[in-house]
Amino acid sequence: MSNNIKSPFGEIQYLGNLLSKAYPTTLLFYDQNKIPVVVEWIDVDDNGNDIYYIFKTLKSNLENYLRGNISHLEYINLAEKKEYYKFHNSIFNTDFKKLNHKKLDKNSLPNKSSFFHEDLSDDYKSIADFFGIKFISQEDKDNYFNKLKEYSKNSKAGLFRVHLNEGNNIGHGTADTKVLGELLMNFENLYHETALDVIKGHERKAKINNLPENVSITKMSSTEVYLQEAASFSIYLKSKTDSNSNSKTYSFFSDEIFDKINILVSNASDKKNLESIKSSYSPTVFDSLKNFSEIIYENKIIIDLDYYNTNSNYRFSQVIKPYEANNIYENIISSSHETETNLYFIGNFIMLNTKTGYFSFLSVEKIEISGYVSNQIKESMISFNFKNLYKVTISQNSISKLNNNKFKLENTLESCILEN
Amino acid sequence: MQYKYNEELTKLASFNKTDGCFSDYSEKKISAYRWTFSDIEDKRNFIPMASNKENFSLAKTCNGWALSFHKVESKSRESWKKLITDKPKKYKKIGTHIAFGEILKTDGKCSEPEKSSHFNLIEYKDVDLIERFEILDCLLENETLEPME
Repeated sequence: MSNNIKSPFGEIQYLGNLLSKAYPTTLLFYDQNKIPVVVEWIDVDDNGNDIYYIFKTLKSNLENYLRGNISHLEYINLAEKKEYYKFHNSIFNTDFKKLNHKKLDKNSLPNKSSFFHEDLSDDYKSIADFFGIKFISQEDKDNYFNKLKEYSKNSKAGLFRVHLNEGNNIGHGTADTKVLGELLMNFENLYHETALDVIKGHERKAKINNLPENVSITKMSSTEVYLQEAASFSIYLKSKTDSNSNSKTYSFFSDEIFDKINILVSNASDKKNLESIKSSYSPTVFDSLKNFSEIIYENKIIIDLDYYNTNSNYRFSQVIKPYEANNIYENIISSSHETETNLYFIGNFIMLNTKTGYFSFLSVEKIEISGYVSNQIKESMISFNFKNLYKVTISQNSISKLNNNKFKLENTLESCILEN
Repeated sequence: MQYKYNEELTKLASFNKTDGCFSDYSEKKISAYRWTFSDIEDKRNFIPMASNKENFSLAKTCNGWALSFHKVESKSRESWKKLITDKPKKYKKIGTHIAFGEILKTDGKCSEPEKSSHFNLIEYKDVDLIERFEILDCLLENETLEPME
């Protein structure tokens, strides 16, 4: 489309649809200075008219949005001079009404967890090309992975590369010490806790795997920096014990630990997937991952995680973008473990509140238990008394946070029969 | 076989100076999920996005004249949710329900399903998919969402 369109930002030209394949709701234009102008579909009013906002933005904001550094909402909020215009139905021959940022319809704007996803976009590549935004090619990725393979071969050990691709205070060969320090400390915690899961099992009750030749658990569950290089900023880590061992099986322990971390990180950004793996890791692993992802999100870092072991040829690669880190964090704090068991007692009620359904029961073994009467038997609660002996069934639901050993018990009185 | 929107597609080919659209599409028998409104007879359910004049950007693309489907139900639900997370009122445009049906080789040509299980169908003339699709479920979870007209 080569026609110029009149807008509050001068004449603009249409470039493509950023989102989405299902219905165009974020359209990209450019002005005479090739500055991006964005049109956002917002809602349909009571008369069936489509409502749109139009605003101008910096190329760097578009780049940050496309790379997953900022959310769609942040992208909209970063409009130049916070200047927005509203129009209805068609951008052609339309009236534009100026809007203050505060007047934007917050209920129709993207959720703060909505980030750019290339699967939903038809035109993002041509839009990025037009504004000179470059994405890393597969060839560059392959070459960079080969470097890791070479280092692994030289060190004769499995190497894990943490590459701080982009982010606040990350440059070519430089990284803010505080950010790097926090990131590495939190990764080390994640490695340590995952290693303990591998060595002792996620319930940490007994030693499951036999450790080889007099190796300490502390060493086995720690990493050390192998080297650092300037490519944005990369750190190569290896298991602290690998270089001291001649045992093949032994070096595969680090494969197992890094593999477990890879599976965890790959699944934790999706709530459903997290549900399927949550029983395989201990709360301390989830807590470490929560802290690690918080650092990534807070500093808007794109982090590449690559692993290669020259001894086993085991490898994996993955990228954590800030929005994925945010998803991981949110999923962990909002997930829980629940287990339900039925308890059977004979004894007396010591407290009954027929209004709220609350009860306290003392068994003949002097065990006191409190909770609420289930809806099924709440009506018959009025017939319970403090003198008679009852046989009760109480379902006990134990709820614990994924990243915490503390749990909450919920007791429900399911049945109550008079005991002769 | 002629496509349903043959006139528009011919104009499009002439505008884009190409031989035509959908050269990599093929006839398929395939199970399909599509987002619809609550009544399967709703006229908005099976019209391509480009036929809405407001979507000027799509009228110039081949895909704008095709209908969008998913091969896998869970992927269809997932994609719908992603879109609503991005634009909470988008259900007013893309639909509130999920429908299931079978696409036959005589219905038109399909693109290869993507990783997300999404694929397009360009319908042949006189095809009516309403008869073969039935609504499975409402996708709206939140009762506070604005009622549809």
